[in-house]
Formats: sequence, C-alpha cells, structure tokens
Amino acid sequence: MMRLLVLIAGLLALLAVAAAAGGGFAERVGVPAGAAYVGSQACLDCHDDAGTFYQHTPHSVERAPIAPGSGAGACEACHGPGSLHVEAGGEGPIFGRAALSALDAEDRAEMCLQCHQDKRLAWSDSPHAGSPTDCAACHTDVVHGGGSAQAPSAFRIAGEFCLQCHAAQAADFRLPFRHRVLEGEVSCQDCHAVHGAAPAAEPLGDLNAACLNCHTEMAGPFLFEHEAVSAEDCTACHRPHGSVNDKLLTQDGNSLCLQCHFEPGYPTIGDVDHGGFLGSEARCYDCHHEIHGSNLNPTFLD
Amino acid sequence: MKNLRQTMLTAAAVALLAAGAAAAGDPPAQAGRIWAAPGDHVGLFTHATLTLDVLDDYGDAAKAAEDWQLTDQYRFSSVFAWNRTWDTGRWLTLRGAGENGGRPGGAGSLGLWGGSTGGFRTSVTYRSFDHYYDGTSEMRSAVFAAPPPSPALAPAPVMNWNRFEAASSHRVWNGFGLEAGVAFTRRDGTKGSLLRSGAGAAVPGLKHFGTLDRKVWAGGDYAYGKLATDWEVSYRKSEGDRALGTRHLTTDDRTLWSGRVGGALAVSPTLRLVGQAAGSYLESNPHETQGLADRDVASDAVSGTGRVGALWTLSRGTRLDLSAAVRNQNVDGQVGPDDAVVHAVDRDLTSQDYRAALATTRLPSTRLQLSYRYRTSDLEETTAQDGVPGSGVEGDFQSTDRQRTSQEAALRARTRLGRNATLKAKATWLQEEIDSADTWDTADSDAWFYWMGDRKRDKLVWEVCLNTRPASGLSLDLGHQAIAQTFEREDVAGVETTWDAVRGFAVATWAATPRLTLLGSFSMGQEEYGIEGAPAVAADVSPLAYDATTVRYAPGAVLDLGRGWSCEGHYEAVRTTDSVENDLDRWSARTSWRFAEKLTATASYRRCEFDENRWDDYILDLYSLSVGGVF
Repeated sequence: MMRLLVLIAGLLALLAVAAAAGGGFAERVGVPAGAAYVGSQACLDCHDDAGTFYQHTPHSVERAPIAPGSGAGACEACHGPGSLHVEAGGEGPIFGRAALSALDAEDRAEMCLQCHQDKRLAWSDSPHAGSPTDCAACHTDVVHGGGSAQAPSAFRIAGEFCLQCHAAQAADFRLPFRHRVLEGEVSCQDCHAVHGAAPAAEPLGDLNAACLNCHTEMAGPFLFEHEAVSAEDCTACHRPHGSVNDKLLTQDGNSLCLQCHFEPGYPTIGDVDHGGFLGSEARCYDCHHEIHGSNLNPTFLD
Repeated sequence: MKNLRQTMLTAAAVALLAAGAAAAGDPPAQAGRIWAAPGDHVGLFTHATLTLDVLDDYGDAAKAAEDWQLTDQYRFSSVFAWNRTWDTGRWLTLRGAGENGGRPGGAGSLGLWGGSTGGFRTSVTYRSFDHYYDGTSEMRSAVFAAPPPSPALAPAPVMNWNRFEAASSHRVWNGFGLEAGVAFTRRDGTKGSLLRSGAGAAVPGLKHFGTLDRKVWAGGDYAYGKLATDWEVSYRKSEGDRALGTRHLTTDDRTLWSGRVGGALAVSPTLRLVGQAAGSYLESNPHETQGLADRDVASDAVSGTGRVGALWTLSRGTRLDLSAAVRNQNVDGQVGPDDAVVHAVDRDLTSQDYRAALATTRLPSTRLQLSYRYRTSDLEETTAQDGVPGSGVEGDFQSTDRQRTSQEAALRARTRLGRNATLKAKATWLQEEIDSADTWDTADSDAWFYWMGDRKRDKLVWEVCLNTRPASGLSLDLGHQAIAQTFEREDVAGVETTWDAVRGFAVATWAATPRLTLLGSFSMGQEEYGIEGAPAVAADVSPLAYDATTVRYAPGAVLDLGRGWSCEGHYEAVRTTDSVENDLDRWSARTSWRFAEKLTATASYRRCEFDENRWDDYILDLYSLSVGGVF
C-alpha cells in the first residue's frame, strides 16, 4: 500500500509539472498560429463534394457531434481550425489529407477519440493502442464514406476483419480442435475487447473472465481451487484458438499435469504412490475429475 | 486414388496458369479467403448467398462431425446481409447465416442492427449452434494404436448453444450517453469428456448440460471539456443442472453483481490521467451429489480493484505510460449447513500491479517500446473440517501463505529498412517466484491437499519478422518465434521442467500476372516439454515428455479468366508428429461465374482427410453449388 501511495504522489507531482492549457486533438498535433474554428458550413462553400460524400455518415455536417475538447464539429474536428485556410481562399494552413496521413497511429486514434469518448478509457490499455493500427484499419466505411454507420460488429465479419492482420490465429482456427470463429459460431469479440478493456473485478481475474463468460461453471468460487486456474489462467493448460489436442489442451497425456506435479520419486506424487493407477493406459484426469476446482474433494477426485 | 487426385489438381493448376498468362490484361485477381464457404460474402454491403452442400464421407462419421459439424448428406445454407441508410440519418442492417442440417430447426445466427447517427444504436442478435463430439473422444497415445476401434459412445454426443443478446445505446446529449442490454446463454445436451469411467479402452465420460445464464447491464459515459468518464453495472444469474454421467450431479445457482467506473482527465495536451475502479460480489449456492455425498454448498467472493495511470507525451513521438493497480478478493465458503459444516474455507488475496512503458518514434523510421511490469500478490487461505476456520469448533485444517512475485520486461521494435522492407522484433522476459508455506493440523499428520512449496519460473519469448516487397506484385514475409521456459520447484530437489518451442514461417503473395495471383505459406514448429530426471515408464503408461513437430504448408492460386469467370485452388497440409502421427489435408477448388451484373454462381469441391492410422480416420468430400449476389 505504501508503494501505491508513493506512486500516486509521484503522479500528482507529474500533474503539477505538466499542467498547462488543455485542448483537443488539434492542439495536440499543433494548431497553426492564429487559427480559429469557423464552423463546417464554411468548408462546404468550397468542398460541396465532401458534404455529399459524408451526407449519410455519422460525420455529416448535420449529424456529427461536437468534440468536447475543442468545441469543433464535423470537418474541423479532424481537420483542425479552418479560419486561416478560409481567409486565404483555400491556400492557408489546415490539416489536409497529407498532414493527417503523416500522423502516427496514436495521433490518428486521438483524432477519433476526441468525440468517441466512451472508447477513450479502454483504448489506452488496448494492445492496438501504440501499434500501427488506428481506428480506420477496421472502421473503414465509417470514417471515409460508405453507406452505413456500422462497424464490423459481430458474426463472421468481425473475425474476417481481425484475421486480415492476425494470420497466425487464422491458422490456429484451422486446427482439428478450435473455437469455431471461421464458421461464425464464435466471434473474436466474444473473448477480446478490441478497443481495450477496463479492469474488471472478475472473480478469477481479467484474463480468465473471457473464458468464464461462456464456461460459467468454472468461476466457482470453489472450496478447493486448482492453482493453475485461480493463480495463473486457463492458458496454463489450454490453447484457446486451436490445438492438435482435444479440449484445446497444450499437450496430450499425463505430461501436461507432470509439467508442474512431477516429483523425483515418480510415480509417487504428493506422498501417494500412483504406480497402481497409472498403468493400463490411465491418465491423471481419469481419477482427478474435478480438475478445475472442487467443493467436495481437496485433490479433485471423484 | 490419392495420387490420381493430386495429378488432376496439378494438371488443373497448370491449365489455369496457361489460361491466366493468355488472358492477361484485366484488373489483378485478389487472394482468396481460403477458409470461406463457396459464394460466401462477408462485408458491409447488401448481399445474399444460397448454397447446397452434398456430403460424402468415409470412415469415422462422429469424428468428421466433431471437426466439421456436418452430419447430413444434403444441406442448404445461406449467408446474407441487408443494409439501408435513409436521408434522415437512420440506418438498419440485417445480417445472418444459417443452415438446415443437424437438429430440427437448423443452426445459424441472425442479427439486426439499427440506429440514428449521433443519436441511438440498437442491436439484437441470436446464435444457435450444435457441437458434435467424437464418440471415442481422444486418446492420442501410441498405446492406443488402432485397430481395434475403441469402444464408442452411441449416439455421439451433441450439445446445443443458444445465445441471445439485445443492447441499446442512446446519446442523450452531446457528451452524455446511456446504454443497456440483456444477454442469455443456454446450453442443452451432452458433450464428450476426456474423463473415463475406467482405465484403458473405456468409453469417454458424458457431461450433461442444461444451464441458463442471464445477464443484464447498464452503463453510460459523460464527457465535458478535459474530463471523460464511464460506468457500468451488471447483474448475472447462472442456473441449471450439470452432470458427469451419474457420478456427479450439480445444480448451479450462481449470482454475480458487478460494477465499474472510470475517468480520464486531459490535464494538458501532453498529459492524461486515468483512474478506474471496479467491484463485484459473486454468490454461489450449488447442490452437489457425488457418490454418497449429497451436499449443499454456500460460497461467496467479494472482489475489488482499482487502477490509476498517467499517459504522458514527453515530446513529439515519445510517450511514457505509468499505471498502478491494486486488487483484493475475499472468499468464504462452506459445504453443509451452519450446524453441520463438512468443509469450509476462508481465502484472502491481495495483489498489486505496476506498469511502465516508454515508446518512441524519434529514431528515423523506427518505433521502439520498452515496458516493465511488476506484480506481487499475497494469498492467505485456511481450509477446515467440521467448522468454519476461526470459529473454534473446526477440526482438521490446512493453511497456506503464498507470495507470488513476477517481473516482466519487454522490448518491441519496428524499423523500415528501406522502401520495401520492414523489420519487427519483440522480446519478452518473465520471471516469477512463488514462496509458499503450508501448515496443517490433521488427525493423521498428513497434509490434506497437495502443496507444491516454493517455485520459480523463467520464460523468454522472442519473435522477429521481416516484411518485404522484393518486386512489384510480390510480398514475402519471413518470421521466427521462440519460447524457452524453465520451471523449478525449490522445495523438491531436482525437479525442473522445461518448455522449448521454436517456429519459422514464410508467407508469400505474388500477383504473377494481372489475372493470376499465387499465394502460399509455410511454417514449421517444434515444441518440447521436458522433465529433468524423468524415468522410463512402462509400455502401457503414458509418456512423461511431450515433443511435437508441426509442419504446415498451404499453397493456392486465384485466377481471373475474364468475362465473369474466376477459379481458385488451394491445398493445406498440417503434419503433426507427437504421441502419434497426425496428417490433416485439405483441398479446395472452386470456380465462379458472374452470370448477371449482380449475381454469381459458384461450384466448389472440398476435401478434408484426417489420418492418424487409428479407428477414427476419415475422408470427407463436400460438393457445393451456390448462387449469390452483391447488391
């Protein structure tokens, strides 16, 4: 707890050092000196094609929300304050296509997050944050036209978007035992919060929460926990995307269990001679049925 | 037969190549989605496809059903989407996929999404699928070599999953939104289990499920100026019956309340502070019957977590992220009523998690990220017999005091080596130490349950990948991945287990001509789980080590013949050598003809061969004819 307090104090000190005028996306990437917001209608005086292009999108002049950080809406929310550009008859500085393309992914994401505030908190912890992936990598139609306002939100289409980049997972989903993502039964988003997830107080931790969402009975809480489940996570024994072994196990046979439970006196384990049990092609879980946790037996026996 | 088919496929590929060279001039062909069903369109546009599948299988039908979820000789399937946007800004999407095979009513998914831009959004989805299980389950061990076939469950187990979800969000005013939703998941049926009633060639255990899970949630977000907040509360109830054969029956009754709240403050253009907190209360009151034991169980878990973080842009292109999180969980549980407790547990877990990450793009054409994570947790647990721990009436007990500490350091780097090459590398080092002390007071002086003592784990993960575009129309990606892990039990002398894995891969796509695209991938992986000092075991005992080599190669070609015709051919082989030899081969050949402006007919042939030289080998041929349109 003391370390936490020290850290909080440090953060407050950082706050004091770094505190300065706030601002939105435009301020973050650099507002041209003297530029001010003039409203998107001024843009349409010249860029009427853009008005038509965005007419049916969430980013149309009529429907785009006002970015809370800057007060800008529609065009200027992304392209920055346009007064200098307008006053110079279109020759003045503004974040044009080239300037926006030159931004790194983090700043491009910031461009979207100024309005999509509900994604902001989680995004900072997303594996996609800080990667070359920005919002438009998946939300292609939303940003640049298209007829609908939807994202690749569910069913097979979600997996298709993800697997464009995640080729190794696409191969895993072709293995004999797999979660059936390619068949549309399960979606990547059933397990992964692609925008990032806030920490949740799940009974067995955040990583296991993805599994327990469907396999609810594994949540317990059990009187007798298997440490591999409660203190590590399901991936200690399972490969969730796909495996050559049944039940998505990392290995078949008893070597899976013995990775942690082997003892020099094998087949004696935990003061119990298992020699009589392990013959005749038996496996550990033939007896230790309740391996995910039990309320009735300390060693998960039947 | 196999050679003949390969010869035919080779001849067809050569013919396609020749035709492609002759027909050059049209727009370039695109690499296909080799997993896709014939005529399958997936996209944010209006489309529909109807497909007739004819199944012809040989060998073990139950195993084929488990792998492919196909059981009927004839099957109709469809995938469709309809999108509409009105001038008012309202939009509606209907999307679904379904098939009439398997159980009555078929299987598939259906979803409806609608909303008003900047106003509200509503979605309703339903999914219903069957899971078939191999009647012999898996006994992937050389000592189970076939023949004779293993005893099998009859009929093969099948379990149905039904999921329904409805959610709606509404932007009440700019910067303030609300959302709510409900979800149901129902499982009915049986599944094959690895558990057996006896050793050796016994049928797998059968797990029965009849469960219903319901969830309701509500949340919202609020943003004003530099502040953004969000919150969510949820209620979840899981009920139903589960059984392992007739040996263990469980009636579940589980309730979970949870909530979270978060806030982010843009202190300046370069500094953002984030804070989040969450809590949950889980109550579980199952009734379990196992052998002669017929018990009521009452347990609950109270969890809380909080996190603060700072995202600080130190300079243009350089960012520092810092965060700290704490977590606490208390579990109390007992078997039996208050006046006749059989077992009881009191478990307290506290943990802290500190993270720092520095990322920069200041170096030319290079992005670097260094991160460090330090975690520590403390578990204090007492399990007692005949009474609740600390009540004074308990009998035998065992207590555990366990400290777990881990450090993780990672480096990610990406650099452009030129116009046509990018090098990516990632290395992660993890060290985990567990100090565990158990004390017990039992009638026979033996520990009640297994304890492992102090342990240490070291793990190094390495990954490097080179993306190149060596020539116009050609992309070639090469990569290497490796994992090295050692696990040592310090209280049990001489115990060290290892996990070493290495994999190399290459992926290429070549637009050989404007009409022809060739694509292929190759990967080879080797994995070894080792146990130092493991003795030789008897012939009928499962081996103690696990070594596996997996080779996968998947060549393919896509050819645009012009005048609306196109052809695709793919082959995929997965060769796994571990306890047994495992060959998985898949062929896919399809041709499409756009016979009208918006309509395309597709004919395809797919084959899947599963070969382990055992009783459950199978060959599955699937002939398909589909008509689809993009509108």
